[in-house]
Amino acid sequence: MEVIKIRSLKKIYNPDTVPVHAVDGIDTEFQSGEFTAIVGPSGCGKTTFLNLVGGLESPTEGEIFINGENISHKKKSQMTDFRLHNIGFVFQAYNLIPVMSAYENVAFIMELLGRPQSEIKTRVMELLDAMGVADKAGQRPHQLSGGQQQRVAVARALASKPKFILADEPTANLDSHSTETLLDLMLKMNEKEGTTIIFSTHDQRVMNKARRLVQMDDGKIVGNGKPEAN
Amino acid sequence: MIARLAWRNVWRNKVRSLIVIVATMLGISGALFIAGLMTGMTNSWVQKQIDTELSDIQIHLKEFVIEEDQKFFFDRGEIEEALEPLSSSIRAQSFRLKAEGLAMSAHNSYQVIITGVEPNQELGVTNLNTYLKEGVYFRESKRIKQILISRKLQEELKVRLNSKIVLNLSDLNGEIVGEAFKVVGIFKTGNGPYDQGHVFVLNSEFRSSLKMEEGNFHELALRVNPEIPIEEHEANIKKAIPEKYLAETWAEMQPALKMTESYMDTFSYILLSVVLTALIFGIINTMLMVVLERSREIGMLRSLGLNDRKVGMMFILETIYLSLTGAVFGNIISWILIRHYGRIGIHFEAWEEGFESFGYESVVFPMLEGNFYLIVTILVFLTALLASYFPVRKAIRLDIATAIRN
Ligand SMILES: Nc1ncnc2c1ncn2[C@@H]1O[C@H](COP(=O)(O)OP(=O)(O)OP(=O)(O)O)[C@@H](O)[C@H]1O
Ligand SMILES: [Mg+2]
Repeated sequence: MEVIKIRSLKKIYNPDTVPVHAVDGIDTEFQSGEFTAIVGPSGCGKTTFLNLVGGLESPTEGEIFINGENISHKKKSQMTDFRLHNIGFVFQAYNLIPVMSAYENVAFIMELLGRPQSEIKTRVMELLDAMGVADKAGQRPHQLSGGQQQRVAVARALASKPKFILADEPTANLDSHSTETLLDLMLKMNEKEGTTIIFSTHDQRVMNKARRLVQMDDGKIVGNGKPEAN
Repeated sequence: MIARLAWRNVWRNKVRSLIVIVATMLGISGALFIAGLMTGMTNSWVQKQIDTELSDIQIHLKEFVIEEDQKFFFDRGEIEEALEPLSSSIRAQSFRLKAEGLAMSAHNSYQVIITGVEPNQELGVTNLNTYLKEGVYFRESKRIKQILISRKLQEELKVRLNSKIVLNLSDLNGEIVGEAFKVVGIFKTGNGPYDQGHVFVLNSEFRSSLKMEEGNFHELALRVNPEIPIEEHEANIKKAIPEKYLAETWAEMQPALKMTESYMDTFSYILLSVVLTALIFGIINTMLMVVLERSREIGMLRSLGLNDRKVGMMFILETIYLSLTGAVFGNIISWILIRHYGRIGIHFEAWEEGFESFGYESVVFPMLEGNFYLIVTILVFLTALLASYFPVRKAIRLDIATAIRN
């Protein structure tokens, strides 16, 4: 089943002065349960593309359908609500709320959604356990390593069972060991929970873990398929 | 959850938050303490004039009040009869004679108001005796007429205790009479202007100078039961006494006193608004810095789905927590200070002269009504709400994509 459908998507920065065609006409789909890497050289438009799909920026042209619903013309406030209910995010860094414990960070979105405490507790502990950070539940982010922080961030993104998770270079700040662990855990959760995960990366080894590779250059998709290593 | 987040955020940058909290605390406690000082000063100033001079309620003939002529006297029996039903609410009364005159010594002369009193009665109504610096509050004597004058007047007239001074006044027939009085007591109430212009003599002796008959008086001063509002007493008295009399409370006799009280309130609020205005800029500045520093985090929270209302609420609460913490400590500190000094008093000895030339006591007992603290807390709350407007606007308008890109 198709979760995301994208048609003629364009994003032009500074259209009146020095136009930058960050995303320059993209048509593609993402199916439910995908584990997809967006790759390409620096400045090719990966972040812009993910931001558009996540509704953090609005497209200059084109349409984005999520579960058949066109989100490209939603108002800012509607989009915020839509993200809360449908999309999980993992960023490169500064993912976690510094004044909250790992547990509270993972529980955050479920609390915003008003889920009952008992459900939150079970789900959060289950995810922290699956991500191998159950023993860090009470720690604040600054007490965790970079890899542990990212694992908590992934747990948070998964917590409310969103339609899909967007992760912009989630491993960029991690050493190779942590990168490998995080990717394996993400893949495991993708298989176990069936959550669609789309992430961007520069890292060859990370790409190789993906089930599908979308290659971008200059704001366009230039390759689409399975990674060679698979 | 947002409330918890906001509270923890307050303590993220402890130094910065403490600076704001301490500044608020100092500002609020300073303003409250000064307000307490002013209130204490004014209240004791007013109370003192009630206690030494005015009493709670005075009754005169209406004409006496208008024309201030000693020929408008009343009959003691008539008014006593009229007030008989109210005797339980009247704690003390003093019938007085009153006239203007000229106090003269060999060196100088001075325009004064002469009040005739019956000492036993008068002591129930006023406490001038407690301000005696020399001599006595009248004595038994048939030989020479006695007078109490103030230290100030004594200095002006260059006389001493037991000196004689002459009072020039016009009697009931309009004839000018001059009579010698012996200074038996010298008082100093601390209210300079009052002291200078008032002297006290015995009713029995004054009466003959004025050529007035027994039982006639100009003024009846009353102290009433303080548990009942004075206006209520006044209304009852007005109902009881004949038309030709006028009963007035101290506030009606000296509207300036009442006005000073309300000026002091106004002054306290002006002081407070100055402090709050200074605070508001400090708070806005701090919170704008906070928003700037946390723009990445705000971007992250908004990406996750924290809506404008919740982001706004977070910063509003942060601002309120910050300011109210300061205000609560400021309230506590000023409450303790005002309570402490309200008991032992603050002695402004160095400025005694200056204070007294305005009629103020040089020992001030600060006091502040309880609801003033409440009002201040509410005002700080509203100030915080107002101050949070700009940071909240900034946080809400923040572009998510720009914020999370760096
Ligand atoms: N706010 C902006 N205003 C103008 N140009 C922008 C803005 N944001 C991004 N760009 C430009 O758009 C292009 C795409 O940027 P984007 O960040 O999407 O690339 P990227 O593939 O994520 O790069 P990287 O791998 O370095 O993260 C770049 O040329 C960038 O300079
Ligand atoms: Mg990028």
